[in-house]
Amino acid sequence: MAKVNKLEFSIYRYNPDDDKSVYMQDYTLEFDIEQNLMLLGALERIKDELDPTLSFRRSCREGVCGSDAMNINGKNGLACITPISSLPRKIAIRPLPGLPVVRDLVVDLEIFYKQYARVKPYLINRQPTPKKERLQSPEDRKKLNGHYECILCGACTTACPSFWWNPDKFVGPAGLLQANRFIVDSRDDAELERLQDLQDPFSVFRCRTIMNCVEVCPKKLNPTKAINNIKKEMLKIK
Amino acid sequence: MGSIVKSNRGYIEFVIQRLSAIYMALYVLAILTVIFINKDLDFEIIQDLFSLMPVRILTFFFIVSILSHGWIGMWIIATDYINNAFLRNLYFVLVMGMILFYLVWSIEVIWGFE
Ligand code: SF4
Ligand code: FES
Repeated sequence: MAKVNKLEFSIYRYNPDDDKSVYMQDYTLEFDIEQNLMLLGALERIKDELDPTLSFRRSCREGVCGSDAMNINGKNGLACITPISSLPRKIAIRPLPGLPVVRDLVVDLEIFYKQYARVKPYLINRQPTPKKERLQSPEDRKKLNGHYECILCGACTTACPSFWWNPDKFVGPAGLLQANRFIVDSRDDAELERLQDLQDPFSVFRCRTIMNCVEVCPKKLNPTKAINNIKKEMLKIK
Repeated sequence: MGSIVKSNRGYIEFVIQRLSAIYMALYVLAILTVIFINKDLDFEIIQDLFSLMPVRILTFFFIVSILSHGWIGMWIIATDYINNAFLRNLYFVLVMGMILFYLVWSIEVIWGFE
């Protein structure tokens, strides 16, 4: 016999076409405790069984694509790798904070990607292209650890108050983590420009070391450490 | 993101904030040391101490440190929380006015003009 339990959901709803306001909608879902259900699975069952109008993004369902970042009981995370067993029986789901909502749990990430693009997240190397590849020592390669694993889910940046107040000027933890990824890359020779591009009062210096980013990152990365490294590298210029 | 002009103002402010903080900490430590080693500290001793030109200059730097540190912090707070341009500018005028007032006043206190 399956052990059945009840989950109570309260989910943020907004439909730009026919809703006048934003409201929280309640759903009750029965599930088998032994099933090791993930939150994403529960949301999909709500959509299938209770309410097909509920909208949310998801793709890989295994913490790789970053599409299903949302605010789960007040804390940003990925629904697909959040086990129901780690949550209380009452679950409040909201879209990522600080961004315009397109519909229900779907937010408009445009400004997030613009900030990401601003740090030029690609290798810049003006040396002649070698025949095969640009080699890197194992030590230099190690410096990229803790950066390249980012899946750009946006959980960190949208948990950051500095980003909420200045989303058009502060790059945010996700973008700055990638800025540092190229600053520390031994094959990149645009370190100076990259640092100079971030020296205005907002881009990097708006980070007040609140560390919400570190708290929420589903990949256990540390954007604050990367941001501090950028500041340290700036001190070495001249 | 045209709102960002390439500038190094953030970096300079960052450095000023750190240096002024270190200087203020050292100054406070020095003053506390004077208070602790002089068991019978009285008005005369304090007056003698502050009649020395180096002490006056170091004290003046202390005031400048507080005010510059404070201005940068207050500017950051306003650019986070005050969105209305008029209110923000009003706030800047008030804060700047206060800072200039303190600056002039501290010069008067330190050098004691009649
Ligand atoms: S650093 Fe972590 S939380 Fe931020 S976007 Fe990357 S994976 Fe998501
Ligand atoms: S669905 Fe891809 S990270 Fe959750």
